[in-house]
Amino acid sequence: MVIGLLICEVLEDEMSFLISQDPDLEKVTFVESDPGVDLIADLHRRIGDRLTVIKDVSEFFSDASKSFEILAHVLRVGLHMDKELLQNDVANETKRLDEKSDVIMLGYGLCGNVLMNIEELLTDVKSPIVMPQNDDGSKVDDCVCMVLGGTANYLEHLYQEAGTWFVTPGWLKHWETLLVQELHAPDIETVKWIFDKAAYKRVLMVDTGIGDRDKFRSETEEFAKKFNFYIDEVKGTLELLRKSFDEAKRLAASRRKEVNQGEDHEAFAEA
Amino acid sequence: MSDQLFQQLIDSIVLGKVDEAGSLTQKALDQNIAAMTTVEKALIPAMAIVSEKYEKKEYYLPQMLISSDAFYAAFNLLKEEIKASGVSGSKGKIVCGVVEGDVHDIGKNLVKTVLEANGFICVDMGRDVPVEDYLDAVAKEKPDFLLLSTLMTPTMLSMKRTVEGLSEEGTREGVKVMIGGGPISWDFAKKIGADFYGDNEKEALRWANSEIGK
Repeated sequence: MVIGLLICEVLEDEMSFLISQDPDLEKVTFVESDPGVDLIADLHRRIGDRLTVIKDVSEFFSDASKSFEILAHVLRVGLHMDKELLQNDVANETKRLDEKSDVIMLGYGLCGNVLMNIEELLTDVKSPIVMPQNDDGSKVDDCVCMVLGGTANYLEHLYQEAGTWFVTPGWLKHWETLLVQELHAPDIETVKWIFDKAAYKRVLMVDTGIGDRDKFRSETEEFAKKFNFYIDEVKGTLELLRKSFDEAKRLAASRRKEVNQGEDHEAFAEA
Repeated sequence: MSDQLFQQLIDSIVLGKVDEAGSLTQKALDQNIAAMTTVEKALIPAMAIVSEKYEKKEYYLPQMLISSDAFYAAFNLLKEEIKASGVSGSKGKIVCGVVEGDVHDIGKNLVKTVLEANGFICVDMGRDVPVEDYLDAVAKEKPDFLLLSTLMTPTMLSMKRTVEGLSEEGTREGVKVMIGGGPISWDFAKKIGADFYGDNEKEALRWANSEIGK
């Protein structure tokens, strides 16, 4: 069975960790892209020769000798700056993965509600689509919500201090580009001016326990100092991503079983 | 002579020259030009140009913000005279704010800027405003409109609770609820029983104008 995995670059550390921890995984094929460079390197370190890199989805053919494979593609961080771009890129890449997958997992949330009805753009996709969900089955808000464990937790932190800027190691990796580009600000000083206007006060470190903690702490301190934020810390979780990944595996296994049973019936009928 | 002054004031707002916008407005006051004339001939056209530039992606958030600052440098000087003339609020009263849990008030401020420039009076509740505070403000101020804004999805629920709260308190009939912000849509507005969703300040103004006197 093949799980097609389409994720935002901001979640690369979390997904690399989750994939590498899966006991059933036999092979990961990565569609090479600029935003995928770090994830490919990290995965290579974690899973060694179970990783293959290809230039284009069309080069992928599932390996009959493997019972569980992943075909992964990373889209660049910050697509949410342009609603249409995010929607179209996610839809187009999902369609491409669909040709080679049994199930597709999207490592995305509502992202400002841009992906709320993404299924409407994917009616011709045959693979079931799985996205991270809250406990009540609703889609999670965004990448922050995902690692906080759901909307209820997200709100709790916002009600404590509405002027909160949430950071994960993945977000900190891209913050300068993201903020300057996202706000179309000419420089960091302008970003500071906008942050002051918006009354951000605190930076909340969401620590999921993966990666280099000291580095995470020092980068958060550097960020906080630049914008005069105070720092709080909260324990994050990979549970919602893990559940979504497990659900994708379950669906893929059941689809594969259906296909195999169909083939058995055909063979029986021919005999 | 005043046309040239108005054009200079328009340019200063569009280009976000805050001090210049203030000094040119003071000059207009010194020349005994009626405050509302300055609003109509300079402030409203200036903000219309700024909105247009934003739509065409010639302007982005920082430019919008600095133009809004320049607008207020001018508008705050004119406010007292407008208030005294009875023109301010002649269109209607609006209670506005950003919902609880959210500090992103830039969109709300831009809508407020344009509505105030066009004769509405706005009671600004600020940002991160709890539902109860909106309910109290509606009961006390008896506004024509309640304008709620949020940029985030988790905080959207607060809009639903506010509309429900108005119904529970018996004040829903007297106020029209306008909602907006990045993740908001007409579908959501209908779902929670709001009266209007607007994608930008121009739509909000057009709708508010059309509702006045109905």
